[in-house]
Amino acid sequence: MSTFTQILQSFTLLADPILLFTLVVGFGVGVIFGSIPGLTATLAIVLLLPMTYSMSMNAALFMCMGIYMAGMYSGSITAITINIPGAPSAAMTGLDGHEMMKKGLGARALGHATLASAIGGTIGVLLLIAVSPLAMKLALMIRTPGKASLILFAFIVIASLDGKRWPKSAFMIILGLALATFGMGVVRPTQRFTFGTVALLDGFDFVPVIIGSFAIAELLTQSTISNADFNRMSDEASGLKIKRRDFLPPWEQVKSVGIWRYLKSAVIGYFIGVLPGAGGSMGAFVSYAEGKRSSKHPELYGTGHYEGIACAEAANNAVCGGALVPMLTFGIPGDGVTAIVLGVLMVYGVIPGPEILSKQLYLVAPMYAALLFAAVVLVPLSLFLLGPYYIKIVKINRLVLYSSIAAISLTGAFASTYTVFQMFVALGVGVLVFFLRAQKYPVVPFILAVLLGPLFEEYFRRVLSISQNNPLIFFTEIDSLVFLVLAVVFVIFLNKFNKQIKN
Amino acid sequence: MEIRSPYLRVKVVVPAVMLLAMMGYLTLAIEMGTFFVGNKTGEAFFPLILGLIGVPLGAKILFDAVQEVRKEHGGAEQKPFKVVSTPFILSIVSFAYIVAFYYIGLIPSMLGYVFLFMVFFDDEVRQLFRKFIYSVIITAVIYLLYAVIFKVQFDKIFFGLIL
Repeated sequence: MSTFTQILQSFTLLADPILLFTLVVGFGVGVIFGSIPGLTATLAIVLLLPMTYSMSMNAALFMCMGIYMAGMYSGSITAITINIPGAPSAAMTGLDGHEMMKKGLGARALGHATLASAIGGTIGVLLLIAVSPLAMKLALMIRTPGKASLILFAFIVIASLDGKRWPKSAFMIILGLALATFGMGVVRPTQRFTFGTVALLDGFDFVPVIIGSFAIAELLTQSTISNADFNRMSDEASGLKIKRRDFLPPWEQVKSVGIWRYLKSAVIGYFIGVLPGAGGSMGAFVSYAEGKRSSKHPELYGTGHYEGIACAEAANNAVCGGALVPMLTFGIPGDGVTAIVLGVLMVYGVIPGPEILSKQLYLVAPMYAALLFAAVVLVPLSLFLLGPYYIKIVKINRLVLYSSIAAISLTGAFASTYTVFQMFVALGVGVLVFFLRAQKYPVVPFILAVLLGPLFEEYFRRVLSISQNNPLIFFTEIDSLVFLVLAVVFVIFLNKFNKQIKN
Repeated sequence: MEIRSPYLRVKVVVPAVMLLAMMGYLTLAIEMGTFFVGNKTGEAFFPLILGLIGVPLGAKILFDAVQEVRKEHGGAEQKPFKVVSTPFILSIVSFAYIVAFYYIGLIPSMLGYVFLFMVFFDDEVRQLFRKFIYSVIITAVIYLLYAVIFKVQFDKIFFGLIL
């Protein structure tokens, strides 16, 4: 069966009411977590992670994709209405969105954000589907030296993305890789760093590590923010009245943005999504900058121009499709959310890569259908149904929300491993990451390293065994050399790019 | 507790602790000793490489942090800052929850945890009864979610009773 046929076949799953329900629940959770500043779609999927043990894989993937798409979009709600981006990826949307809000055009701005998100999200998934067969063929050509170099390439790109802070990114990668070495060896069943304890024989389970890094660390960070500030924001939001009929952007404005601009923004977002660790924020930033550069009215950007919202939102939602390419093709996540989705797949024993794509595509194909559906339903759900209520989300009692997240997180660490030890692991990692984050150490490289560490070590050592411990094999094997050269090219490119951003 | 030395601040202490941790890791990797087994790499080989990269990296980050602090403060007397803060208290409460979870079971420990979390997360001690009611509801919902819907087997639910 061809790749396309298998992907198309996965769309029949949308007829399953249970799966559709999980997608809608995921969508709702994504909207809530995406629109509340401090909470993210990543955190929502982290909380879902321990529950996936009791769900079917399709249901878990449907829910994740719903959260992902809705979470990426809904950051724009508070960015526009109260100028506080619900998610980092919505920061650029707030530049023009909130200016429109101040002019009394908040609903219109939300309408533009919704439409652009739906268009960007849809194009992103269509590109993902179109690229999949090619990516699969490419992935099948990569042998073990290439696989090791590919993971190294991902690590180098992630570290380079942070510009001058690269030592901290690199250190987090080393820390994640080091954490992944605890327990039994990956090549031989030898104990490593177990200190004679049974609890450490299995090492650090990745679910509690993820829970600690994203949920516990976030809770501790949020506890440093005064509730009075949050209540002020909540009061500000509750005073806003948005009418349903004001949401629909006028056709002339949509036409003035133009299909070419939507398409260009989506393509930019998609390709930035493909880069490991880049994510929605960078996609929105680059697309906004390009939109402004090529606009007939660049002077209007930042003053409440709907074009700016369209560029940023189309790009950050297209990132969803792009970020899945490296994750599904090579098993290397493109951003924080896909790193957790990789964790979800690993819970079911599925390690994405060329083998899965070529032989068991049906396992991961539901993600395409769910993501596309989540992008398409953005318009009817947000513009015609729920839009006016979105802003009320920030009125949710913060104490109830965060204490629930805390209880779910630690209990989830137990539910996923059935050991109290891993609850301590989640807490310990959470406290550590809280301190590290406060000192600007990035978390995503750490998680990627924890997830990819065992594979990286296995490939790395296997290659050395093949070559009689000669590391030159990484330069003599063509697939490996390609990724190493690409890594150098990206380091140079990202260095220039970071300088441009700074300017 | 008050700290006045500029170099005993989080900005320097965190990289210092991380460097020490990485040095400890490298030492353990060296102690493991099995870098090569015959012609093949041993289980200590990869940790050794990580340690050899991690230690200089950690040292560079620490050096940068010290330089930064020196530039920022220029030897002037520092304002004291408090170490005891909400994140610290919440970490202790979370630790206590895990211990209580093990000894007295899911429901009573979670009830106490959620309640205390709300009390310490808030800016001031107020509306305790309302917080308690919220705690009961949250505990009930999470219990239903995990134990009933997702059928997670907890060793103890309520002081040794399996509900």
